[in-house]
Amino acid sequence: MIRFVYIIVGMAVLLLSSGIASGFERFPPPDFESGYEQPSPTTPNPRQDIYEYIDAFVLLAVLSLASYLVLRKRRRRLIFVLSILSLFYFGFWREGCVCPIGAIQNVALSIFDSDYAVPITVMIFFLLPLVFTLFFGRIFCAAVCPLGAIQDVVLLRPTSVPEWLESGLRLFAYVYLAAAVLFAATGSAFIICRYDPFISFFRLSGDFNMLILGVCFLFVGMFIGRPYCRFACPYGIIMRQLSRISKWRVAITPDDCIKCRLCEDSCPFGAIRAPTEDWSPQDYNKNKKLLVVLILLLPVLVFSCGWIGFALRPVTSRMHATVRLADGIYLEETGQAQETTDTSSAFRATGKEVQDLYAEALDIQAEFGLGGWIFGGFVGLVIALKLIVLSLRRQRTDYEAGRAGCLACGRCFEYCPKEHTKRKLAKETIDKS
Amino acid sequence: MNRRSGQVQSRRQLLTVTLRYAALGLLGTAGASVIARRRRLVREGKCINDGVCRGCYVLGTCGLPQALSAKEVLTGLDDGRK
Repeated sequence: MIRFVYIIVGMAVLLLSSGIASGFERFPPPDFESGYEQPSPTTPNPRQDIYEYIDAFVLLAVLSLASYLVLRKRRRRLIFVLSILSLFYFGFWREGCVCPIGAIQNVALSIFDSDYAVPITVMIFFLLPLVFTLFFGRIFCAAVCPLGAIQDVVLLRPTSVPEWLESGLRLFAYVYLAAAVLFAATGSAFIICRYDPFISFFRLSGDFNMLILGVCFLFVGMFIGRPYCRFACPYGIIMRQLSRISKWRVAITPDDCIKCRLCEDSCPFGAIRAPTEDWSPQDYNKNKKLLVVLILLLPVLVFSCGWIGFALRPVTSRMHATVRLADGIYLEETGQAQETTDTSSAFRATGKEVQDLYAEALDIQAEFGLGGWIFGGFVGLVIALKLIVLSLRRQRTDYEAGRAGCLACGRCFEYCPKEHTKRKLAKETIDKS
Repeated sequence: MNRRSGQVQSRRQLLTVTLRYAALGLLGTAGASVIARRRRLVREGKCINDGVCRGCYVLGTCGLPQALSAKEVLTGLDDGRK
C-alpha cells in the first residue's frame, strides 16, 4: 500500500515538473546580434494550458470545501487552515496569477474590444467565485483569496471602525473598480495588477513602491481587519452585491438567537448587525423628509460626478500609451523637450505621420470623455444610493451577520453558546454510539 | 400585522430569487459569449494573444515570440489573405 502511494506521488511530481519545464520552452528567447540583454521577467513564466485548467479545478475544489466548512461544519480553525493552504497555492506557488480580482479587467476589455478574447481559464477564475457567492455567500473571501489570507494572518489586535467611516472608506473601492474598468476598457492599463500591494510578496520581486504599500497594508491590517478587502478590493464590491441575494449564508447561531451579546464584538470586520430599536413617529417623519431630499439629489449627484469624470479626461487619458506618446512627440516637435525618448525614436522609425498620431490621440481622448461620464456617473450613483440606504429604516430582531459585509471567516461561531451546546451534544452522541 | 409582514417577506424572497437567477443567467451568458468569441477569432485567423503587442511602436522591429506571432497574423491581414 505504502509503495503504491510512493509510486503515485512520484508520478505526480514527474508530471508536474515536466509540465513546468515544457511551459518554459514554449517561448524560447530570441537571439539578438546587437548584444541586447534579455530583462528578467517580473510576471510568472508561461505554463502549459493543462496546468491552467488544473488551477481552475483546484479553485473549484477549494471553493466547494470552503462552502462545506463554513456552512455545514462551522469550524473557524478548519477554515483558517484552508485559507493558509490557498495562500500557499494561489499566492506563493502560482504567484498570484491568475486571480479573479485582476480578471475583472480582462472581462472589461473583452466587452469593449471585439478583437480581444479572454482566455477561458481567466473567465473560469472570474465566474466561479461569483457563482459560489450567489449560492453560499462570500466563500471566496473566507478561505480562497490569497490576498485576504495574508491579511488574516497578521491580524493581531482588531479595532472596530465606525460605520460612517467604513462606508466612506468603502467608496474608494467603488472608485477603484470604476477606474479599473475604464482603463481596461480603453486598452490603457490593468491598474489592479499594477497596483496589487501583495504581489511583491508572492513573487518575491517587483516594484519597491508596491512592496512598501504592501507592508503598509499589512501593518494597518494588524489593527484593522483586512483593510484591502474592505476598502479597496474591486472584486469584493461585486461580491458584496451578489451576496445580498445569496441562497444560503452564514448564520451566527445554529439555533434561535438568545441575544446574549457574546458575539457582538467578535467580528473584526464589523459585519455583525445588532437588533434595531423601534423608531418614534417624530423620527419616522423626519427620516421620510430626508429620504425625499436624497432621492431628489440622486440625479444631481450622478450628473455632477459624471461631469467631473468628463472634465478629467486630459488627465485620465494620459494612462493610454498613445496619448502619452503624442504628448511626448508634441513637446519634442515644439522644442519644449530637448531629448528624445526610446518610445518617440521607435515611433519615428515606423515612418508614421505625426498628424495621424495626434488624430489617434484625440480619438482616444474622446473615448475617455464618454468613459469619464459613465465612470463619474457610476460613482455619483453609488454615493447617492449609499446615502439613501443609510437613511432607510431597518428592522432586525436578532444579532445577524450582515449579508454584504460578512466575509464568512467563521470567527463568530466560536462565540455563540448555542454552537458550543450543539457541539457538546453531537460529541456526546458520538461517544455513546 | 403578522400577515402583512409575511407578505412583505414573501415579496422580498421572490425578488431575491428572481435577482439571483437573473444574475446567474447573466454570468452564464458572459461565459458562453467568451467561448463563442474565442472560436470566432480563431476561425477568422486573428491573433487571440495580441493584447500585448497592440499599440506598441516597437512591434515592427521586435523579435519576441508573441510579437512574431502577431506580425504574422497582421501581415496576413494586410495582404488580404485572411
